[in-house]
Amino acid sequence: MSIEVKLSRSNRIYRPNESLEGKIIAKFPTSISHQGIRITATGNVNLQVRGGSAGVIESLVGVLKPVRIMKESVEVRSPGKLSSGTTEIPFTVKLREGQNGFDRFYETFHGANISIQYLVTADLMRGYLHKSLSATVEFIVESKKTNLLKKPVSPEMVSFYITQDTQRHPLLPELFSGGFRVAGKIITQCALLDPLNGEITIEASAVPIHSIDIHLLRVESILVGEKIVSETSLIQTTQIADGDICRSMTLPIYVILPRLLTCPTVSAG
Amino acid sequence: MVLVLALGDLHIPHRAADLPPKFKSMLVPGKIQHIICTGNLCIKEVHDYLKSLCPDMHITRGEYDEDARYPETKTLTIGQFKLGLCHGHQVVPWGDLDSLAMLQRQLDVDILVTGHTHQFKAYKHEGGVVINPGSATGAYSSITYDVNPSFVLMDIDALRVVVYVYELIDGEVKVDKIDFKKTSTSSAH
Amino acid sequence: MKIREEEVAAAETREVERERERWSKTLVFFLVGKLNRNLRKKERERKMEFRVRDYEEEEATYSLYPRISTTNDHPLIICNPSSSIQVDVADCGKNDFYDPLRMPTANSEDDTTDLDVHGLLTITNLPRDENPYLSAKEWASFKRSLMQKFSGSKLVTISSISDAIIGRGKVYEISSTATHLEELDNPPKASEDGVKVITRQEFVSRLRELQDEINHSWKADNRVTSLKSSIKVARLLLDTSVSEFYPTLFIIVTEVMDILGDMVWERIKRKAEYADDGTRICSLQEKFSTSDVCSDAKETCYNWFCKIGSIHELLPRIYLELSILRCWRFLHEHPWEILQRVVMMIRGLADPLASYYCRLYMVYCAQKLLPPDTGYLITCITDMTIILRRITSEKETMSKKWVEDNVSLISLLEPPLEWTMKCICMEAYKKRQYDDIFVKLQLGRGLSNSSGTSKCISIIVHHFLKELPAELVCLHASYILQLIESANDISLNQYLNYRLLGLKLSERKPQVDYVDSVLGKVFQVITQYSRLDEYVKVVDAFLDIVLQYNMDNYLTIILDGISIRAQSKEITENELSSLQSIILKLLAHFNLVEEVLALNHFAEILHVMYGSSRDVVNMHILDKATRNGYICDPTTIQMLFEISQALHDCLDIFSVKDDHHEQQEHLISRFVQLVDYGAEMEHHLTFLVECRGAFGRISELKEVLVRSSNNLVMKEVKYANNVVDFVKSCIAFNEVTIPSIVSTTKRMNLYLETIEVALLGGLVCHADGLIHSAIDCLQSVDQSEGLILQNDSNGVLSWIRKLCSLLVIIPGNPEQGVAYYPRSILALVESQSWITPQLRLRVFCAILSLSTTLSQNKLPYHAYNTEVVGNDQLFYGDPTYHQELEALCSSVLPKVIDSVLQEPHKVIRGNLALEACSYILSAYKASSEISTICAKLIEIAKSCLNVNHKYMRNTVRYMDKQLSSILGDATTPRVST
Repeated sequence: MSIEVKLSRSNRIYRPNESLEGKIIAKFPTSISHQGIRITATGNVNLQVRGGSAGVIESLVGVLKPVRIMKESVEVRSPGKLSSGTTEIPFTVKLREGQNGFDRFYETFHGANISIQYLVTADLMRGYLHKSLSATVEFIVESKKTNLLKKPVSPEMVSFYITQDTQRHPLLPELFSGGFRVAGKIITQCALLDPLNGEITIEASAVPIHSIDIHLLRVESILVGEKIVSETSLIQTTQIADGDICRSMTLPIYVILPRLLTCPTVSAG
Repeated sequence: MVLVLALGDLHIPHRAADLPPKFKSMLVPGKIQHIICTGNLCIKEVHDYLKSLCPDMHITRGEYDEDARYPETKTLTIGQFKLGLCHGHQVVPWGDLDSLAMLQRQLDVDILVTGHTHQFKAYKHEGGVVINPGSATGAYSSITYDVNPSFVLMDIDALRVVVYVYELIDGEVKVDKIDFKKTSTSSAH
Repeated sequence: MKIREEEVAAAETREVERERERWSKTLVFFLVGKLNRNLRKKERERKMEFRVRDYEEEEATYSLYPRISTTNDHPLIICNPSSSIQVDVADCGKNDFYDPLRMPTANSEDDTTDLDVHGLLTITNLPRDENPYLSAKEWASFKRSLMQKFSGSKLVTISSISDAIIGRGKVYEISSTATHLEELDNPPKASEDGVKVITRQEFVSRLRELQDEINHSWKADNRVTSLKSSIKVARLLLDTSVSEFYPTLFIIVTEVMDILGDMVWERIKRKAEYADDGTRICSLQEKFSTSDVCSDAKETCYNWFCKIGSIHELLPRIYLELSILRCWRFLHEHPWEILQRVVMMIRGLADPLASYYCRLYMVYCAQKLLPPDTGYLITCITDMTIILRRITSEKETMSKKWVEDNVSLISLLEPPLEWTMKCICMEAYKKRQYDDIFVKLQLGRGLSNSSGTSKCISIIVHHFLKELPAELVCLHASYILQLIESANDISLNQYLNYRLLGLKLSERKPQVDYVDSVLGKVFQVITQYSRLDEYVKVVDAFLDIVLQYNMDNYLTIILDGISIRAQSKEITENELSSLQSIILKLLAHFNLVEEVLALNHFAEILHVMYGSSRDVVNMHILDKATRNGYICDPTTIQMLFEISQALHDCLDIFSVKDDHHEQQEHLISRFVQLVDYGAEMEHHLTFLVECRGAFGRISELKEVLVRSSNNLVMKEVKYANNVVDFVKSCIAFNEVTIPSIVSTTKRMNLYLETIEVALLGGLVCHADGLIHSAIDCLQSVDQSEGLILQNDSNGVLSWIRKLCSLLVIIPGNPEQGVAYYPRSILALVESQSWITPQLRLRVFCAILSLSTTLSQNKLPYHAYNTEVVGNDQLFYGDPTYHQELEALCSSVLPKVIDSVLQEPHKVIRGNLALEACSYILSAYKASSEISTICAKLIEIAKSCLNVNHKYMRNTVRYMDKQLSSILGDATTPRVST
């Protein structure tokens, strides 16, 4: 005795103003009567406490309630009876922008402190005597590319140098005395679907290199009064060099952004 | 017209290094339809050489042949003729007409080809024909070292056979021709 | 007319017979009266008289006539040389010869190579192959050779990095910076797990299990697990500690990667072609475009790249991406553009081994994208070069250990380099231009700016040269020569490049003057070499050209050079094989072995060789020597004799008989056979005696010796006058040699031949002795060869029959009587238990034929030597001679029917009866006794055979004819035409 929600797209990605389509699959050993079947799509922005560590944002907004940015509900079956066996009930929910006071959907995002999440829930009401049955599935909202960016990102590259003098943290003495020089460039703007591109060259290093890693950091910030409070968390480490590589050889920086853990720079609330 | 090369007693390499070059230049692939060889080649290389001239080859065993698979006697039919083949060292005495006739009766053939004496011979006897092509290399025989290299080519056409005898005498190839017709052997009596 | 002659002849003979009878009677009466009774009995028997033959008359009567001389008209007539027959010969020769190895060369020789003014080489006649990339088959064979090359250690040391194999590995998670840095500080190798040693077998089987796991979870729709397991497998390649095992590891891992890649490709392709419910949307062509792919499939595909992109470590990330590299085709209109980035990513792998093999996999996977240019390959080679340069150029630490380590490392790096180079040249071949590569590979850089700062790496030059078509090498030889000169480092010994140049040049024929200048430069370098090994390897490669252009001066230099370097030095196996190759080339080049043997230092060089190479060379020399007929030059004979001795001395070291040995024995025998001292026959015999002493172990040779000595006799008798002593020595030589031959068959044959030769040489006494030996030899057939097979039995019969025919010319010994030998033969066949009735009967028949022949007034043939008097002259008119023969036959005749009846097999029995009947009819005059015996035999035959049996009919007809004189004289005289 169960119900299940299955979305039309296996990747569960939908864009604003599209229709969320799918079916409710109900399986019953005997036929049952119900008081209506309803499908509900919701979207919330949560500020949440994670992992028990007391971050700045948490201390400030620990008590905030989720902000609802969307809610759509449709009755897909009026009260009646469902026969035994498997029954499939198709549904369609229009994802309309401009509801609930929000002019557009934010893209799904699972951050450390902030998350934007969309859910679709099916409810089968069975009156007092019986427990209602329900099933929930997350669906992912992505903006249309055209919405996000009017034109392709100009390949804006920033050059950088790293030497013993540019580092603020303490260095090993031999590293400091021998010196090193790393040059590179990296883009500062890109679409989420495009990889992060750049390159790096070890021009000199007094000590052998163990490894070169690219850290992808996520910055979440909120406005508290006049101040912006940010918290940074590491979401991905990508090794681009393993061992003491040749000097003066250009290495590519190529990082595909993890979809659910990243979010275009937005502000909400 | 079917050309049948009959030869034997080459005794290569024991008594001769190779066939005379003049013979070799005459014997080219593609001309001859059958080879019948009385034996004593004696080695495989000679066999292979002959086979290269004409793949249809029939050989009987001479006493010095390395290849023990050659039979003592062999018969084959070409056109309207039944041919018998035997080396001839087993005939007592060697080359004896009566003894050969005995073999011919036994094999029931029209033409019996034998060797061993290293002398060309062609007989018509008791209604059959007996041919000895001699030694193709001129090897010494059991009874003489005075041997001219020779071989025989038979041109078989219906009931007629033309026997060409190739003999190397003093460095020159001499060719003789003998003609005979098949007579029905059994009904005469 | 003829009939009358016959009758007259018969009458005459009868007359003579009667005369002889009377004479003998008187003699007997006169001598011993009391033998009267016996004699009368004999007289009765003598009613069976031998048939009288006149061989000369028969010859004249039955010879086919007329013999027309027709020298200019016969089927084998040779027209003038330019006629079609000659052409036929040539064609046949060509067609008959089919050597699969030679075919491609033959074809490529027909290739036309066009050169335009700029020296851009265009090769026409390319195979019209749509896909000029290296095929899967080639990859498979490459992998195989890789496995074989590095299959050294059986044990694998597993560091904890390979915990996927040990089986209790933790599931890999994206590590935080902190733990990762920790890892870096404590390299996994040093972790407490330490190293484990497992066998290679175990390792491989564990990997196979992992592979199964990947397959399983894939089928169970658990694709993330599949991916995770694949990452585990790819991580194994992080461990380069057991470097010899790395190539094997690479192969196994990439096979797993390939499987994953195929599964992903198929899945996405299916997504693109079929909707979720299984209906077909479209079907992707071989060369589909991204617009043909539905967004759902693209989405899935991108997802895969995302998942792989999130792998922290570089090496597994690259391998995984490469495994699904093909899938970029769903997303990218020009997927090969990805390659440049991947090539650069590999630069991040600092370990030379890991990075080289990673590039190898990249090159292999890239082929599936059908990239239109070689840019990525060129970058690849350039990067590889940089790494190599780093390995080869650390001059300050040139310790021996360092060199050794690096050399073994380079040998491991070689296969990826080789494969990449192969791909580049393949591309160039497809594009039909190579000049580009010279520039792109920057091979020429070291030359153009003479500063020499960036010298070429020799191993790279090597593989480039290896893949370059020979015609290009010929065209750019002097340029390549400069390349080789400039590349001299530890990665590959320079001489190997010179050698390769030589081999390439030999493939095509460059112009003579050009060759001369190249050779000049090469020899300038190699004459500096002090090591024989390097020297011979290079000259071996250039020898073909030297020989082809008859550059005798270089040949002299080469041989001098070898001889100097080979002095006072132990020759190594490698050097031996080069020397062997050099000598074989010389042998193949010159027409006559004498020319080779006469080359400067040749004997010397031959002397420093040993072992199997020496044997091979010796065998080839002998083979060459025995190809062109007789060997007459005494010095050559002496040298070949020594060579044969060296070969023979090796024979006893290995007691096992094999093909190789047989071939050696055969070559030595053949050499001895072909030796010809011309008129110096005494020398020849001495030589034979020497050979008998020197090559005692070769039984085949003994036969050759006997035959050669027989040939000597024949030659001596034919051309010389004073012969007896020499002939005696020869025959005596044979008498000593033959008994040492093991095979009865050969012994018997040689006895018979020697008897004939002895007779032709006039040595009756020796012939007598030899006949004794021959009969003894026959007697030993049973003991020596055990089981008598049908064939042996045939052999025995054939010898006995031949011996009987031979006895016709043997003068009877007056003391022993003419029947002595026939009786010995009879005694033999009657005493030996293994002799079958069939064989016995046939021997009886042979004796009958012999006797009737010997009884003739004139024998059919005589030995061609006046010294040997035939029995017909020797015993002319001697009655005891005839009595002996008759007595012999009367003892045989009664046994004939018995023998026939003893034959168990019915059909054979019938045939034997007919055979016996024929022999008797041919041996005896018609008489009632004969008639009775024959009738009996025919009776037996009829009981065994069909009446229509041809042999039977022929025999009966013959019998009727023969017996007509007594049966139907009065009634129907039968006359043959």
